[in-house]
Amino acid sequence: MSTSPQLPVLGFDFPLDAPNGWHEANRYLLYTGHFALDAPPIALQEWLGSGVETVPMRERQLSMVPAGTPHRLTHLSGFWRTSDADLIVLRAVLPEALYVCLYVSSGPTHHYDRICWYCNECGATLAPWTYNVERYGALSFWNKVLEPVRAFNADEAQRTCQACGAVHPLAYGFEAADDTTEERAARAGW
Amino acid sequence: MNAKPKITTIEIDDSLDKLGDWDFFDEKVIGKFSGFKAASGNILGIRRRIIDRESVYDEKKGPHPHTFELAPNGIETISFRPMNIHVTHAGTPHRVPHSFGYWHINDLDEVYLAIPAPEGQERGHFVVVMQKPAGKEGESFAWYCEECLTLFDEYRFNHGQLGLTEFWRAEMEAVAKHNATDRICPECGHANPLAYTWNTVKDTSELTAARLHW
Repeated sequence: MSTSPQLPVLGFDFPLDAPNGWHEANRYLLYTGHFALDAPPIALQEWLGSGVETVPMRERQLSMVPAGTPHRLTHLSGFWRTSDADLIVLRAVLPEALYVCLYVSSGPTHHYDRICWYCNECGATLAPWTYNVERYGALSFWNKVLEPVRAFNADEAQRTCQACGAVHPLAYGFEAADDTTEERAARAGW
Repeated sequence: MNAKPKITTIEIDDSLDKLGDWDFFDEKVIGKFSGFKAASGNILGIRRRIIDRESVYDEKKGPHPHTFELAPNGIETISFRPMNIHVTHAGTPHRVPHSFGYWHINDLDEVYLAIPAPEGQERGHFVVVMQKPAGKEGESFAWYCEECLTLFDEYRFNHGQLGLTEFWRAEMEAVAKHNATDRICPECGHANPLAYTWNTVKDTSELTAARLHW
């Protein structure tokens, strides 16, 4: 007999004021988060080869990160992610909080998620890490990503640029609740 | 050695790049999504609606209190709440009463979210996101008897092959074909009402009555 939990047959509902976290909904992976209005700003950044492009922040905003574009959210993800799947980023400021919703559009063409860091001095790629989403699922990436982040932090050689010798600052994962003291300081910084 | 990273202004690299639409909510861009528009591997619809913390109101069609989804045990009424993401799973027949007069069956998930109006404004943002169909993926316009829920009419749209631009024509054609039938349920004999399209522009008085009815 299967001991798997019974999943609801019909659509899922995800209130935006629920505790911050990821939710799996068939092909979509959805993140709902809310943050204090005076918290460090969560801005979408993309890496387009020649440098960092920061999407200007508005109180209401809906942006698309096409598959294959390295991206991160300041103070939310302390690594650069590149995915086979599009990411939609929705930002809404309401009187009580900033709400951030992320839509990962997964499916049969979503094979891998990759992370890396870019040297702050010369832009060289540091410590690339690949996760097999096709095999392990899109949701588990967000749990697993803390491992390469901590490996990066633990090894100065990984954080040292082979091209120019600059040392990258410490990184942090996605879930702030999992932060160590050092990771919390890193999250506040970039 | 590469140049030092620099901060620049973003542009989205797709068919809308001439508009510099890094923000789909931008007033210069949002109109492109008033129906549905493909953006990379997704299709988005964005509507400005009168939205507060409790309700969504469509000025053309009235309140939007709930959606119907057809479940194994019959019709489920899904209360539509702002500040809540609702996912209609792929393959689930669903319809919004008074908005479109057919059951929509999509091979892909549909994700809905209504965000209340910013302070001092009346209109919030109603966002629908779904994946862009590929290959044989598509959707159906279907009719179930309103008395006994027997499926008695269905038109398939091969979205993955024909593309989004053909969707509205296919919808109009399916509704017209359905309305040309007697709409009598083959199981229980019930005479079902006329169908109507999502867009109200071509509503006749008969279709307006049908829209009010169901």
